[in-house]
Amino acid sequence: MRKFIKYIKEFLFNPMTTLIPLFFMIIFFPEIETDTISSSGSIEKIVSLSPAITRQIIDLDAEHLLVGVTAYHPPLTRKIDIVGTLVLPNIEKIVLLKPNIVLLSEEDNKVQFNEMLNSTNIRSHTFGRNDSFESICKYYLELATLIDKTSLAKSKLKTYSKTLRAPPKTTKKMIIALFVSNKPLIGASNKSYIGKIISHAGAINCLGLLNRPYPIISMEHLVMLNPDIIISILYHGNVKPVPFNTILKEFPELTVMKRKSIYIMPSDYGCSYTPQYYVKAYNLIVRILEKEIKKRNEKKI
Amino acid sequence: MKIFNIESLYAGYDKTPVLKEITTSIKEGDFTGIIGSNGAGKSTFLKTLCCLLQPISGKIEFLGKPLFDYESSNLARQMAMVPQFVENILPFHVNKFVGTGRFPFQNFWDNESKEDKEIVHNSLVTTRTLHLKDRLLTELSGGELQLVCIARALAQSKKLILFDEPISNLDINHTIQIMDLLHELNSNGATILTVLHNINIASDYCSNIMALKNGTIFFEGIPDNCVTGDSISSLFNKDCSVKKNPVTGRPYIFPHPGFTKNLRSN
Amino acid sequence: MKKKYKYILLAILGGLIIISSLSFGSIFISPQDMISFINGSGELNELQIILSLRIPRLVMTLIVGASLAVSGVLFQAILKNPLADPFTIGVSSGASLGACFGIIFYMSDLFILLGAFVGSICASSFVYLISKLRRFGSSFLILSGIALGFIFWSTVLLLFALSPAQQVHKALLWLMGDLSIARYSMLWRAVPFSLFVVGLSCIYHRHLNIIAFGDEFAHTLGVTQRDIRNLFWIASILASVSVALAGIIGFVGLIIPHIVRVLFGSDHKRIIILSAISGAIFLSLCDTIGRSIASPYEIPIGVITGFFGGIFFLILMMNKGVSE
Repeated sequence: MRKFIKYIKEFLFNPMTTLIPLFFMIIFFPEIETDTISSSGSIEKIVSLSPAITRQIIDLDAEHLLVGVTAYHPPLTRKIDIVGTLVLPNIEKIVLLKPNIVLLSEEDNKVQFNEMLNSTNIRSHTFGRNDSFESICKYYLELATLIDKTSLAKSKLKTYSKTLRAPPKTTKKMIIALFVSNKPLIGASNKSYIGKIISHAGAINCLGLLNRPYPIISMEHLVMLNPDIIISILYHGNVKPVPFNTILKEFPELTVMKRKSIYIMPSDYGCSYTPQYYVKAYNLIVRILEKEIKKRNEKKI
Repeated sequence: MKIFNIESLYAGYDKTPVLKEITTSIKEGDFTGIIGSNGAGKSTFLKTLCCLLQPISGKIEFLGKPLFDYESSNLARQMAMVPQFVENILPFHVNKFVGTGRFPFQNFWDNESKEDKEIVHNSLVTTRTLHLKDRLLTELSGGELQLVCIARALAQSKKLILFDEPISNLDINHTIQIMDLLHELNSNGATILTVLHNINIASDYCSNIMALKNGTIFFEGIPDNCVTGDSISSLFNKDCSVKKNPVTGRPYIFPHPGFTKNLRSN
Repeated sequence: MKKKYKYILLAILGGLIIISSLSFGSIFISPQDMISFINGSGELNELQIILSLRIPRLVMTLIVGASLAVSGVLFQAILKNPLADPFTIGVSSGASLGACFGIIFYMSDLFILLGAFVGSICASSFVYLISKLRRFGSSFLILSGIALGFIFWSTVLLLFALSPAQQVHKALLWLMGDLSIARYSMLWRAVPFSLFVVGLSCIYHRHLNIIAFGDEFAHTLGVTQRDIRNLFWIASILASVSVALAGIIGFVGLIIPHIVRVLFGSDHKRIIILSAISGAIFLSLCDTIGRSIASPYEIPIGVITGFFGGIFFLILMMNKGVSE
């Protein structure tokens, strides 16, 4: 009997067998579901936790509704309070601004932040992932409905869609490599926003099938791929990045060097998930393609 | 009454035996001195008796039952060991340090009982370290620290104490003080087992000598019988002479320094 | 200074820091306002909301600080090395790997927390299992912890190299310590658990006193290998829970036990509780600073403890040099 008690004591006092399973049980204990705040009342104060959403609000002539933005925001006409960064928003600041609604994007994966907002009785709305032109337009319209600008949004969307150039006709599709960084070489695959635009524009993204949305490519790989066109996006910063002409100086036989088909795309085109900028990026790529196809045909002749 | 009964013991660190084929016994009231050269297995022997090392093969019995059947806290209540050095000397009060000797007797929820405090006090008195009661361990000299360690062992067990080289780093004063203390404890009924490097001290104080060479027992018995010139010379492979200590009457050894070779050959 | 006065000073300091942690932030709420909120005005004031945000955060900070400090006390005793930190054992690198794994693969916050916990437990299990092959010696534990740390950390960097920039940023923030996810639902589970484990380690205070002197010494007194292993696990669990909740916050487990020992002596009976309290207070001070200095941006708490901890440590080292 004593030995039995001794074994029980040993078993209980062994942290491995008691504490660790206890911890797991505790963590997985079902949480009390909090009700989402129901929508009511007009929206006069918005906090936007995504630069793309901020852009769309400006596009819909609703900048006056913004009371809070994240650190990296597009140019604004007036000074708006910054509520933290994309990754770490400051909830106290948001509460102090007393917004009617806080807008987030699912891309930023802020489930827990959402719950915190709910616990403070602030309404929030999360837009889905920006997978394609259709989904971007859908969320644009969703946003417009929230701020009562549906008709404006619809007309703008019509204009944007109209300005979409037709993809150029060609027997052999052009191969594009798009880089979001020159040093190190970081490309965009078909899993990224901008990579999808390339496919939409009727070209082949030579980095398209890679697993990561923004894979790091070695110089060797790039030389081996020998794309027809290189598009380089220059992101934020005053520091001048090394241009591709210099980087590929030692490889004059590459197609892009012979045909001088290296282009630069402005940074907002690459990361703004708005219909307006989608169309801009798309049109830019189509124009580049048309130019290059013309060059190719001329060469043949 | 036999306290330890050891048969055909093979023991060591990892798998290689340092001790080979040890068969002996320790009786109650013995004051045994273990001697031998460095690496002969003296500390290993002590550690095996304390249950710090698992023997490779062989049998050890403590008070009639196999040693390894005992629960560790049970053993701790009956046997105390004073190691050669304290691995880590922390700024503890002497009082508290000696108090840790009462640990095997305390339960989780016990505070220090009156009995514990009394025993600690008595240990300090016996080792004549009462005046150091409130000092920090880091402030003590080597000899004082050793006495405090003995006090701690005394608080743990008055019946059986094992010592690993208690006097190796001490001056004459503290050496005699400590050995006298051990002698006193022994005459009060404690069984004492000590590893000693100083053969003469062992000869003076111990009732029993055990000599280890290369992991086996070279000889054992009472000092008068076994501390002879031949036995010690073959134990250490060094020439020695033996003369009677005029004060105690026990055999003293005199190893021959190298430069006396010429003197003796003449 | 008499012991009694030290306790009183600690209590007063603690009270002040806790109150200031509730007052400071993106806006200052004075204690009078706090009292009026408690008395209850009718509608929900936004300052009240902020207070209700700060309270769970404070509670979590106190718990994490206490857990880390107690974990440090335990590890320093077991490893007999005053430089032992819960993270030298490889807990932090294992947790980093688990959490970064979760973050990079877009898992929910719950899984990130689990990833951190599982990662750190795996790391300490690994170190512990290796040490079973040899004797459970302190230097061995530290060395294998460091070696494991290298392996795990390289894997984390590999994950970074293959991941999109935003997730890497998120992972880095986690690595620097992030207390902002404090919510009542997580807290009412984590707090009793941590308190329970801290209480458990208090039971072992006598064992710790003995273990600190040496393993063989401890064995002769009846403190078995099993006890030492249990303490190792308790310390690892405390560190793992803290890391899972709040990311990697270094130096608390290293510095707080030292300071407490210098002020209150080496007896573990007192050190465990006092380290828990001091760790809690220290961390909430660092958190208050991190939240208030650059509002609306938050300075990650790992950065602040790193600065403070590093400076304290240098001062400690110089003092030690003088006295020795």
